[in-house]
Amino acid sequence: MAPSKQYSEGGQLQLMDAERIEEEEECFESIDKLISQGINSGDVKKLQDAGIYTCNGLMMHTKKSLTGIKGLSEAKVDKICEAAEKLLSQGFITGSDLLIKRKSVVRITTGSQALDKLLGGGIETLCITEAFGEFRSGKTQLAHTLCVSAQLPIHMHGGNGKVAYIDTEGTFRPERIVPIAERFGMDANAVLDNIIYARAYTYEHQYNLLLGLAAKMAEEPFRLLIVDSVIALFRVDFSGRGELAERQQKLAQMLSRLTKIAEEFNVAVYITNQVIADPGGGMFITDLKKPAGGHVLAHAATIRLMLRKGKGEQRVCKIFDAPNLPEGEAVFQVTSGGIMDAKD
Amino acid sequence: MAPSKQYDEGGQLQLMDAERIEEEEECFESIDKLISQGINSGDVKKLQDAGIYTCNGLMMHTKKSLTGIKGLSEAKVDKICEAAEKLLSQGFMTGSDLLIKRKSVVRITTGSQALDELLGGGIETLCITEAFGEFRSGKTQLAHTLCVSTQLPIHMHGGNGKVAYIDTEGTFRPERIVPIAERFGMDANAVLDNIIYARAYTYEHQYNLLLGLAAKMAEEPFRLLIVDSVIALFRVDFSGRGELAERQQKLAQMLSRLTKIAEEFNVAVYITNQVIADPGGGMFITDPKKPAGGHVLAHAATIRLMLRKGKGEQRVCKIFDAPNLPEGEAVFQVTSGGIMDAKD
Repeated sequence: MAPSKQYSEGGQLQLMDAERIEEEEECFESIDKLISQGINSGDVKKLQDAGIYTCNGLMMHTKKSLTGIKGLSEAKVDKICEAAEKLLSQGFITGSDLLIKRKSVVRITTGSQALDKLLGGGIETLCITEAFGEFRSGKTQLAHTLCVSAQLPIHMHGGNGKVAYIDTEGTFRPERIVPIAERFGMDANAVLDNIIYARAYTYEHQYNLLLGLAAKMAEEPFRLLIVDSVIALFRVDFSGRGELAERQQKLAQMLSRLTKIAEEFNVAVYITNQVIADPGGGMFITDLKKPAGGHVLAHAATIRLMLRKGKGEQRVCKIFDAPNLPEGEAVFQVTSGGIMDAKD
Repeated sequence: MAPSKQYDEGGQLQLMDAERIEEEEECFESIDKLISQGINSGDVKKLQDAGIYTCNGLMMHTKKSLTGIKGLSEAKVDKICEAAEKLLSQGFMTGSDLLIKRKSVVRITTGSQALDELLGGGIETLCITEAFGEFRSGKTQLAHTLCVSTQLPIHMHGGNGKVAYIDTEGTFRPERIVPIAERFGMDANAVLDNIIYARAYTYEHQYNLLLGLAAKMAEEPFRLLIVDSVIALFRVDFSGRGELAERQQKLAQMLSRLTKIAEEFNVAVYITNQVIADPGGGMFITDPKKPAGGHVLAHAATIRLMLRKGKGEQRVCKIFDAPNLPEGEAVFQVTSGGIMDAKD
C-alpha cells in the first residue's frame, strides 16, 4: 500500500503545518471556555448539540433562537450570554485595530495571476464571493481549482487549510482534482482527503449541512467553503410567485448562516449562482441575463463576479460588485490543470 | 416456439447477472428498512404510494412535500426523516471517499469508439446527458443504440441493466432495435423485453410517468432512462411569453426529478432537446441556432452534446458543456446497426 502511506505522510505534514498557523492566530474562542466562567457543562453540551461550537458563534445567535434550544431557559440563556461577553469584546474597536484585525484575512489564489490581480490577491476569507454566469462559464472549474489552491501553504498564496464542498447540482468530480493537484505539485490523495464533500438534495438538507459544518470547523482548520450552486435547490423546491416570498426568506437565512461561518472561522466562502433570462428587459439590451436570487442574494454577497465565455477555452471574469475593488475584467483559461493565465 | 425459448434463456441469464451485480453494489436502501427503525408499516405504504421507494429517495424530498402526502402528519414526517437519517449518512465525506464512491459510475458505450473517447468512455450514470441538434442529426438514433448497448455486460462497456424510454414525439421504433441487437450479437426479443416504453402526451403525463418509474427502478436493475424529447410537450402545452415563467418552473421540477432518479438508482439519464432559431441574434452570426429550454435546462444538464449533420450518413458530436471533459468533436456514422465509427 505504497500510495496510502504516501498520503498519510503528506496529510500529517500538512496538518501539523496548519496547526502551527492556527496557534499563532486563534481566531475564535472555543465554547468550552464558558465552563471556566461558571456555566454548567451540561448546558455547554446542549449548545454544541445545537451546532454552536465557539463563543463567537454564540454571539451570532439571537436570544430568541437560543431559548428555542431544548432545555435552555431564558435565565440560563442570559447567564450564558453574559459569560460569553466577558470572554469576547463585542463592542467598538478603533479603525486602526480593525486594520490589524483584517491582517488575518487570507487571500487564496485562483491559479491565474491576472484573476488574482483583479481580485486584489485572490478569494478573501471573512466574506462571501459569488460567481455567476451561464453554463460552461467556468464557475465549477474555479471551484475545483480553489479546492486545491486553498490547501497550498500561505507563502504560495494558499490558505493552508481544509476545504468543505456542498454540491447541489452533482457536478463535483474528484477525478478532476487529481491533475490540478499535480499541477501545484501536491499529493493528490492528501488533497482529496482534505476535502470534505456533501451532496444536498433539498434546501432543508443544504441548511442542515451548514449547521453540521460548525462542529467540523471548530475541530479542524478549514479555509474554504464552497456551495455550488447556492440557488439551484431553491429554484426547484419553491415555485411560482406565491412561494417567492418564503423562498427569499429561507435564502436570506441560508446566506446569513454562510456569512456567519465565514466570520466565525476565518473561512472564505465561494458560492456559485445561476443566471436567469429577463424577457421583459426591453429590446435595447442585447444581453438579457441577470443573476438569480434577487436582491437578497445581491446584498448578501460581498464580492460578485460575472463570468462569461471568451473564445475557445478562455473565460472572462468581470467584477460586478465589490467594496474594495475597482471595476475591471480579467481573462483566464480553463485547462486540465485548473484555472490558468490565458495564453495569447 | 424456438425463439421464445431462446429469449427465455437469454433473459434469465441476463437478469441473474444483473442481480449479482446489484448485490455487490447495493446503491440504495429500501424504504422497507424504515420498519425496523420503528416506523409504522402503514406509513411506509403511504410513502410507497407517493412514489418513494428508497430511503435515499425520501431524503430528496422536502418536509413540506412529505407533509403534503395524505395521512402523514408533521410529527410523523419528522419521525420518518429521523429514522431515515439513521440509516443513511447524509453528511460530509472526504474527497477520497467520494472518488471511491464514483467508481460505481458505469459508462455505457455509444457504439462508436470515437464518440466514446470524446465522452470519456460513454454515457455516464449518476448524471444527465443532453443531446440537442436539428432534425436528422442523430439524437434519436443515439437513443436507439443506447437502448441496446445498456444491456451489454459491463466488460463489453455496457450497463448490464434495463432501459426505460419515455417518448414524447412518437419516434421510438422497436423494429429499429432488432438490427442493432443483432449487430451486438444479442437476442432481439430479450433486448426488447428489457426495454419499458411509455408515450407521453402532456407535460403532466410526462411528470407522472417519472414518479411511477421509481417503483419499477426499486424492483429491477435499470441503468438507462431516455426522455426523447424532454422539451417537446412543454413547447406545446405552454405558449407565449405570458406562460413562459410557469413553463420554466415546471421544466425545472421535471429536470430536478430526473437528476434525483439518476443519483438514487445509479442510472444514466439521456435526454434529447430541440433547437430554436434565434432571429434576434443579429446577422453576423451565421448559425443562429440554440438549444431550447433556456437557462433552466442549461444549468440542469451535466453534459451537453451538440449534434449536427456531416456529409452523407456522418454526424458530428461536439461537447458543449461538461464538468470534466475538454471541448472537442467526434465524427460518427448512423447505420442500420445503430451508431458506429465513421468510415472514410
